Amino acid sequence: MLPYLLRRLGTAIAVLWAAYTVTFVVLYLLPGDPVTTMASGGLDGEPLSQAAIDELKARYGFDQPLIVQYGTRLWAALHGDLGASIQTGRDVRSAIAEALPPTIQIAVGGLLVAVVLGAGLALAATFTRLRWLRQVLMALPSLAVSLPVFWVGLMLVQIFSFGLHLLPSVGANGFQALILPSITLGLPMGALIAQVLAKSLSTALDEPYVQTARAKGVGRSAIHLRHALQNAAIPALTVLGYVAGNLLAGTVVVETVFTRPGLGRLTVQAVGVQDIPLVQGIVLFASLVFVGVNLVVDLVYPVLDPRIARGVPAAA
Amino acid sequence: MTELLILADATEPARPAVVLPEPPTRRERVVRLLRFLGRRPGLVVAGVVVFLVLLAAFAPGVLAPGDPNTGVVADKLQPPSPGHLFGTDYLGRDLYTRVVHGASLSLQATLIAVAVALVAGGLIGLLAGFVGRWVDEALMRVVDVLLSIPAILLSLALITALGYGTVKVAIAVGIASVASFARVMRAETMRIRQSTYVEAARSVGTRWYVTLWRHVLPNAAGPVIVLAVLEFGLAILAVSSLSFLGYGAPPPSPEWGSLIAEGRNYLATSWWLCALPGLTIAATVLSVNRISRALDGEWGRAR
Repeated sequence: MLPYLLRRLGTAIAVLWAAYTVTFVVLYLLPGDPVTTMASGGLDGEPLSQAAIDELKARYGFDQPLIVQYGTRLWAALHGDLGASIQTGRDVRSAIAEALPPTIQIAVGGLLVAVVLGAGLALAATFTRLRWLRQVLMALPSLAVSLPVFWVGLMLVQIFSFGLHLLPSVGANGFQALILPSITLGLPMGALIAQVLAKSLSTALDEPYVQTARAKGVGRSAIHLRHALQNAAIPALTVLGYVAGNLLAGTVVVETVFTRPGLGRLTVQAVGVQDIPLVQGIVLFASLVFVGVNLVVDLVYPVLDPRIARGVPAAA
Repeated sequence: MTELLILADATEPARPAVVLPEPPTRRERVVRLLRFLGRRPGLVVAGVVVFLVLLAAFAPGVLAPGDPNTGVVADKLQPPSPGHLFGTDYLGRDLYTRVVHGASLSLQATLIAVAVALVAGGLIGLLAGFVGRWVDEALMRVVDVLLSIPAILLSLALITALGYGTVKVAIAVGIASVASFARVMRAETMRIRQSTYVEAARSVGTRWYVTLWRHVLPNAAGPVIVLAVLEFGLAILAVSSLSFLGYGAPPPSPEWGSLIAEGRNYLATSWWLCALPGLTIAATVLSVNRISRALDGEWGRAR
């Protein structure tokens, strides 16, 4: 168990370091440097004097050679210092921490919707004996992933807020304001879970142990929930990790549609003013979440299937 | 579409046939194609939708002769009617005309995105799979990292660096999906590198780049092209999301995503401004996905 754990942890750290490098290359290397970008067109459009530009560059360290910048910034990031926002001058870390709570709310809501919807759909589709119902249920996920997320959100607002006057269309006040954003966020992810789980469930239901259980007289629902589901859970868990890791990315669109405060909106604002340290901080945070979630998923695998930790190739 | 289907047939890996069947005559092939399509009305509809969208993209005047950027202000916010199929917007511009003309911008961006992903990802995968050893290791680690950054955030980081505009959004979306192409291309290349005909080519002294170009690339292309069609649907969604967020072409141009962003302000009163452009995007993506599924072996299995 311990070597497995250490190997996973090592991979996670390596991926994070590499993600830092990729964002650094993208953001700092591509167009010159952010101060020039800001000074040339930026927000107010007034060109700065050369002296002011030089002073700004010196303050943010952009006058250093890139490799030195990379070193000092990486060293600072290792100590949790992601620099200061160019736009507001605030510490990137505290800006992210402040925007996080409302985002966590819809992330949890979205994940809940995704799991309930995805697992429910997959179980229903594999359980039913009606051919047409199964076909309809299995067609739903591929329909759901073809819809633009922002459009789904707007249509929900149109129907439930403006049409039926049931739920608020904007804002982050109270539980009611959480329902539509969570559904919007969870729908495409639920579709993904449903597709994978339905596939692995129908594979599991063809296995000999299901026949054995049936021959022993175990009921259909018991076979489904106890025998098949447990064995079908591993691929679904992988997808769940992927989905949870991408929740933050989903909030970018959802928070814009519902005009909610949060990390997604902060991202849109930061990109809008080319606030490079803030964008880098958010992307890094998102990949930290992605790596963290997948690390947890990796640690759950051996619980579900002990062969994985012992390095025995899993049959599934 | 017929062309695409035949292409899929051509790239189908040859099965070890015990008895070689007679090559089908032209008439037999047509009959088979018609029967194949007749059993799949959904696929036919998908083909028609994609054809219309392509027509809108390359010759918008055929479907909507009007000017997308001029409107009659007196006719503003009219609901859909025979005169204005999709209704009109807050400046009295015909929404149908704007959606049709928007197709060229949105599809142009999507094509660029898929092309960037296909070429860059394909090259990385080809190199990694063909050279192997440390080159493979290094390239695949880079690909892993690209996969660990959520696609839309990677696109947003690229937009921060590159700036706004349709083409820049397209490049950002394309780079964010390089990783999946690289993986598929690498897997295919590695499979083909071990095949007998590559070994034979090497044994007669064919130069490595000729082997790569003449033997590996054509045979590895099939699954990558299927992925490209699938990725086309995803890229439409990604491009329209970014355009909805306001990073695409500046206002008067009718990109699909920005059309919906404009319509958002009139959501309470004029449902068609958001609903109909969104349905157009959804129909396009659904159709592309359906065709991609058909290319992915459905034709071959239907023998």
